[in-house]
Amino acid sequence: MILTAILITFLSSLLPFLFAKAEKIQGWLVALIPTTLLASFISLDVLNKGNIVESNSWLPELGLNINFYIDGLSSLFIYLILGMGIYIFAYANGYMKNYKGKSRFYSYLIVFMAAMLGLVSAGNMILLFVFWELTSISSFLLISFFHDKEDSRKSALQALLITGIGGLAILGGVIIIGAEAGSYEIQDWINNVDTIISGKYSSAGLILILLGAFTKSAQFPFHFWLPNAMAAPTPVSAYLHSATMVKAGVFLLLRVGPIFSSTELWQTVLPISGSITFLLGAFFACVQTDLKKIFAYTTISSLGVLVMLIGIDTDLSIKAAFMFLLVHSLYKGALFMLAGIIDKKVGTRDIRLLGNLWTKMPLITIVGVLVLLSMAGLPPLIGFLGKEMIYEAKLQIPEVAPYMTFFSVLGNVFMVFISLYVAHMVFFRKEHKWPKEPSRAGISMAIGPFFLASLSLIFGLLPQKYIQPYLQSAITAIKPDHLDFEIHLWHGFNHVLLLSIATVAMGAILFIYHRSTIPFFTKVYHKVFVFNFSDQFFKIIDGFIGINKKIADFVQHGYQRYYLSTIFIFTAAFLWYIISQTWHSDFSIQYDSISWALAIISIIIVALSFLSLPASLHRVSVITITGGVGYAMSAIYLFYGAIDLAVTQILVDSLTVILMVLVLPKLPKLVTYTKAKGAIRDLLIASSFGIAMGVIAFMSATNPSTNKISTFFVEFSLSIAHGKNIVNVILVDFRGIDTMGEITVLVLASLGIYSLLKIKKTH
Amino acid sequence: MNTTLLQLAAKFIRSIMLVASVFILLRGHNAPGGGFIGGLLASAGIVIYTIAFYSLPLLSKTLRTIAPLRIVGLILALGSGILGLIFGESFLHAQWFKLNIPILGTIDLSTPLLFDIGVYLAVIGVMVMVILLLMEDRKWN
Repeated sequence: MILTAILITFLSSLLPFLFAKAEKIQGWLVALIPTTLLASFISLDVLNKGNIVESNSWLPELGLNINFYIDGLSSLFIYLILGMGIYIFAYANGYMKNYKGKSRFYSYLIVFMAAMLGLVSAGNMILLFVFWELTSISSFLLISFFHDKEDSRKSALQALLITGIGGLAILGGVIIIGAEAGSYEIQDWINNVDTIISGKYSSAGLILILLGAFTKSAQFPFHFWLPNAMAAPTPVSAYLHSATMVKAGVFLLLRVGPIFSSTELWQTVLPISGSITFLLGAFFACVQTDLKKIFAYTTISSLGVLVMLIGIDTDLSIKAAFMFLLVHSLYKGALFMLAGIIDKKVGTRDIRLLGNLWTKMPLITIVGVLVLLSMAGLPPLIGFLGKEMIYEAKLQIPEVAPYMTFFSVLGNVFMVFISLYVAHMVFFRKEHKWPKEPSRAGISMAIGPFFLASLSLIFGLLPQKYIQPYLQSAITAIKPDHLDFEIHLWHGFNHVLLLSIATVAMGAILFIYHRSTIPFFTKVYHKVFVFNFSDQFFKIIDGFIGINKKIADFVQHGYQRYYLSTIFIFTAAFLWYIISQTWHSDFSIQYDSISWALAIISIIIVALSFLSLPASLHRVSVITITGGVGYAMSAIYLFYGAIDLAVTQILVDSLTVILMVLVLPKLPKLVTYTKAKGAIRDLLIASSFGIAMGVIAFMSATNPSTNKISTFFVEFSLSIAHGKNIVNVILVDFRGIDTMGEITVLVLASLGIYSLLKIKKTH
Repeated sequence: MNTTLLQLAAKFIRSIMLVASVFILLRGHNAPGGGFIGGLLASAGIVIYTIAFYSLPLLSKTLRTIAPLRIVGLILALGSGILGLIFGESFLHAQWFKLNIPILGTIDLSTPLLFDIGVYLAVIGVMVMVILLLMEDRKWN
């Protein structure tokens, strides 16, 4: 059922092309897909009816099954993916109005959505990996949507390489852990925690899995792809690069948390890496001027918070992680959509040019201020709850509580500062340099941020009613023993609240003096962070390509004759090795059993081959002679009754002659040997190859293998495959996959020939 | 080679070879023949016709019609494999159906036949495309 649903979602990626005629409401129509899916998922009622487990066999021999497992954790993510999806499609309807290739855009987004749904409901880790890579690929296609810009292409490639490498690391880790546990099922892993943790290589497996999660969730030092990914259209940034895809790493950490959270590696790497990402992200955000870049860096920062909380692994911290996950998706999705609206309606995203939008877009301003307050963590928005819970979790860690709390407060001071600063710069300050007079945003673009902001407010005011049961069920998936889960807007007057007040106060002070703090931060940023990760990344890639170019130039020299020599040398060496391994001198051939006809045909073949030696100076004569050899070969096939082979041989030979005639004028002049050395070398290669082939043929003819597959074909061709023509049955049934591969190669080769002949003309 | 005699012959040869190729394709499972041979035969027919009536517009028109066939063929072959999956068996596992037609009797349909048709189309698409591309490139007649 789940499998069918996900396959249908993948298939529905073709629907946007059907809706292409209804251009004005295409996005709204596409939004029906996540709406339908959400409605059907709500009707499953995982909260009350319990987890969904579904098994479909895939490759049971290898322990790979298409198993799905939907618990509270998966449900929370499914709600996020589908709920956000509806607004993103509606928003894209307005945002993408003037772009070409809209259908393609929606199609990619749906593929992404399907892959993401598969990722969060996968019960088998290999299956999870498959969906993981699919999200990376769809992200690549979406970032490079404006593929005529070099910037987009580079960013897309960077994102693909980094998340793709992470994905491969996950595969490696999953295989290692799978070998320890004897299964790839996540449930089997959870049931065998002790075996896995005590396993010899499990820490290597864990490191690989962490690497995958960190690259996807943009943890330091892999964070740099995310700001570059802002080259994508804004709906993509709001959906993939803030609300859902970058949280896949967090999801993976939560998924494998019950298995590894007790290890020392987990408890040190995650909090440290998370803290660094959190602080650096928040700091980098302060020195950006592009709205989308600012939000990208705060996203990195928030992902750091999540990783840190998961690493702390107390009941409180997991609780806080879930809360913050929800909080962040709500406000960051809305913020990106707002950035897109401002970009479209004012013509720039640069905060130095923006300002005083309060007078032109009052409704947008209210929405913007609400979500920014949520980001700053002020009451009564849901962001306040998230921040309070984080502080509470931090204060309760033994030993390192003071440090963690200090970092946390520091990062949040930056967050408060950025929120106030952005609100001031974009909406309220009087001076501005608008590139064009702001126009009103349409309903399609405004509805998403408006709704998400309202949710931030409603959830903040009434947390128990709406979000508590869902978060409770998600937490039970990670911490089965954890029972009570209570959230209130008002905690009472305690030290957590004091910390909050201090945070806001410090953020406000930084903001009041922003005229001096911002230049100071920028100065520090340029002095300290001279190392540009993104540039270094491309330098490494360029170096790698350079090395490969050198190797390729050496191996791919472009001389057909040397390619052939290489192939012949290696094949001959291999054949002689086989001969030396299986040599026997028991050549018993009954010469009297060979018929005269066969002998005559063979003599003709040999004679023709000899004839080709003196003729080799003229291509046409060589082609004619090899054609003759081909026809003689088909006579042998006919002799043994293999009519199919004979006919094929004749047809192939005839068509080859036509092809050869066509390319003859293209070929360079025949080279004659100027030195005896070259001739002797080629003679050695040719004869060693030819003799090896001869010996092999002789050996297999005189000592037929006992384990003959041909008897199987003869025996079962009619009874199983209902065919009297064994050759054909082998081709289309017994060895169908081989044929499939062959015609695929054929089609690919035709593409190569096409580009060789066609592209050259344009130069 | 735009001679009337060759052109007259080429028309017949093409028709005969195309019909024969389909015949050979369909009988392939029980008698000599099959998708590959049929495909080669059909391509030979089409190529002969193009040689006789050589002109650049004809070349590009034939290319446009024939080249997509290789994709269609690949999809058919893949589809016949997926049919095996749909019927609950492994990829490419043969499925057989009996079709009853009142007067003609029973016809056996199978996924291997679909697969063979896929091979047939892919071979035609690739062979004709490659030869015609070369002819176009060489301005050959």
